[in-house]
Amino acid sequence: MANSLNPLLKFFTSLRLTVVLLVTSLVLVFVATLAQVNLGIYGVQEMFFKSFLVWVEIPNLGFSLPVFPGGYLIGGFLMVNLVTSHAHRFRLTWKKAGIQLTHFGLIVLLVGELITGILQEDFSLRLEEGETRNYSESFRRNEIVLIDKTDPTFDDVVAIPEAHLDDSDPIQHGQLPFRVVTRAHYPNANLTMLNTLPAGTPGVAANLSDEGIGPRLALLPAPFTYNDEERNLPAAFVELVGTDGSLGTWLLSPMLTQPQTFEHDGRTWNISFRFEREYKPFSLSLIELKHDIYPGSTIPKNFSSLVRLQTADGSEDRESLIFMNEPLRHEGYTFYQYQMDSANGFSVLQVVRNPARSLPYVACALMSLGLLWQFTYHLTKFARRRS
Amino acid sequence: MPSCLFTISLVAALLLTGCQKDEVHAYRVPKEVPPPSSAVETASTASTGPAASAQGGLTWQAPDHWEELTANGVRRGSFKATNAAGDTADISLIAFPGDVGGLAANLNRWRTQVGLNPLPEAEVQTTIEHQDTPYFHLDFVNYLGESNGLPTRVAGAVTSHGGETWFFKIIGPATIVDAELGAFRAFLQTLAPSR
Repeated sequence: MANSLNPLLKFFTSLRLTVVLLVTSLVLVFVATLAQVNLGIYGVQEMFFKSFLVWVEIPNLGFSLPVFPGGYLIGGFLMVNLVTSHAHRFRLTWKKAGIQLTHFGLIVLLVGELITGILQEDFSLRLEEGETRNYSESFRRNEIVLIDKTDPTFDDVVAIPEAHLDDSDPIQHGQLPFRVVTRAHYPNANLTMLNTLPAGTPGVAANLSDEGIGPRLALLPAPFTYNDEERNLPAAFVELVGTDGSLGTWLLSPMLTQPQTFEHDGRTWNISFRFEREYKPFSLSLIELKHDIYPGSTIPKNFSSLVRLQTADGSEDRESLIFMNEPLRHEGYTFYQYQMDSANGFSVLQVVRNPARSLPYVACALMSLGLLWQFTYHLTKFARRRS
Repeated sequence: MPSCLFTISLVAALLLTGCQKDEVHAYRVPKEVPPPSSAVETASTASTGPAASAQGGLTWQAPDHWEELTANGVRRGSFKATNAAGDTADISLIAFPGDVGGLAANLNRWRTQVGLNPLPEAEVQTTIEHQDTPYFHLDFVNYLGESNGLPTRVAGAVTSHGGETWFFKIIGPATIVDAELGAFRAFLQTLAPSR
């Protein structure tokens, strides 16, 4: 058994593997940097770094092929290489303690980046003055929601992430008395009122809707944007099919800010396509927003939002002023001042949760200590030898 | 060696976690409370009758039946109109330094507030009615949409004064906004630079 595992151990502990992986990662970073021109930061991260393999679509053939290892694969192998080498060659001596500590710091850094890549959440929270919200919205992801509004005190929500709209099978859920069938899905599209559209306008998609506001709208598919300053606004024609047949087909898009309502089996439902929400066990209210300018000019000096934080169980109720470089931190979330439109009385906070937020600091401290120890140890030894 | 295998398994498990597609999920939430039409609509707000006001470089004369609400830093003026059925329309006067992202962006924001879709800039321009008052040229719009299944109207005007962009808006159920539109237009005619 030991002999049969030796080649594997040899492979994972080899310095050659380290060099190959480092060179591969250099190539990956170089190519990704070039690709950033067209794909933007988010697109590059998803395609090159938050993936096992880099897939490239073959023109005119309609399928993709893996052409290069992605960040997860290279990073994963690097970490295995580092850990196994570390474990295999580990000798607890003062002479090597600094090297061990430095490598351990590097492992912590890699693990931290992996956890960040998988678990970090980045949302926005838009509040009008006087408004209270206990949820934030995704910057990029969207969801279709079917909300049972019948009860006067609460809403029962079934949320379908946009990624499911491309599934070939109808979407079913225990809380839905109907199936959700995607008739068409456009990752980015514009909507306009049908009666304002000049006759013969090219590029208008077939309107499949027969319920809600959809029949009065025209849908114009748009290219998927990778521009970091823009957001894709998807659209979909969604049919609901009950036990007695179709309930109708709705045109849905986050551009339609008002949900569309229908009745089914004596219950009132809302259907909408919206920015993906994440609910929290606490709420924030925007008490006051301030846009200060330098006297005698229109140059912005400071943006700030005075918010009130209240937990659902009443254990916390406090005010906090959020402004540049002074975020609010609560239960692992960090709220940064992100945007503001004081003309329309609203403020947008960026909400970030990263369980591995402190790991880079720990890693840097470990590596600094390790290097300090290593240099001090050798310097002392050298000095002793000289004397 | 077992530690090596353990490490490989751990890494594989962690990496595979990142491949999961978000699932369809259900949850229950308390009903959303719509944001107040004005952050300062408080019980302490008192009606002052016919409201002649001057705020931040402009004066205006509001109709008698509008209830004046307390203005704050963002709102230079704030009123409420109520009809016999209890429907209320919110009237706001807001000023902001600069062009605030451009006229089209702001008019599109008003459109979305009544459930209408934003329009390309060229089309937004076609919705503008140019209106001259004794002191100002106003870009006036009037959009009818739908909110919570009810016809909802927003009408408003935009102008520049003293390096600021001023927004005058009335929004609410179409029944009351339609009834108040004449008063709102007359109100716009009273706008004047403060002295």
